[in-house]
Amino acid sequence: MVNLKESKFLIKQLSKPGSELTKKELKQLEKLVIKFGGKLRKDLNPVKGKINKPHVQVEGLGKSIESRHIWLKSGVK
Amino acid sequence: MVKIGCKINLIMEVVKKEFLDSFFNLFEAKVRITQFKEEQFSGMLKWENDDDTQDFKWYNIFSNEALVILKELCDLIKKYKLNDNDTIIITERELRSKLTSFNWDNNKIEKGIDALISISIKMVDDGEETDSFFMHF
Repeated sequence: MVNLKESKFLIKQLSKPGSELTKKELKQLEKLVIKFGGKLRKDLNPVKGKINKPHVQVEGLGKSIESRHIWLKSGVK
Repeated sequence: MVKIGCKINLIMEVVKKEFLDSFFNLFEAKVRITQFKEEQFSGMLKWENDDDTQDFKWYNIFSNEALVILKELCDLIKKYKLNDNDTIIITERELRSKLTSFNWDNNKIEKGIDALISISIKMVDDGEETDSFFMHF
């Protein structure tokens, strides 16, 4: 059973360069985040800035991880 | 007695520290700088109600003039609640219009927005640079 601390560690790992989630992995992550009372904020179409790739961020599990960018594989929504 | 060169250096460092405070205020984080050397700054971020901290590293590429404008822009974004974490929640056009209404001239608006969407501050986990803090529309 994954606890909150481990979940936050996982989120940090997922935000490393080169990591891209598949649709299935995104669903699993969403389930895990909801379990701890958080939610995913999807930014599928960032328009201007350093990032122009779809990503999600995690809200509600602590401010220290809210800025983490979890990248998605092309086409994942 | 403090030499003039030292005073100027001190003022330059204050500009950078004040910029970092304002930038990370957008993320509701408090900044503690642990090391700086020339244009590299390392430090730690802390949040209220979160025991976890985040190390960061910033390689500054901006002039002090740009940082002063950028600090002012970050403060305005915060004051008028124009961001949700790293996302600016109004369009670039709306932001430009708002800045014009605050008597910013076109040159200042250009410099401020360019700097805002170019800045990137590295998150550091166990000594390794991983994700980054940046702003986008």
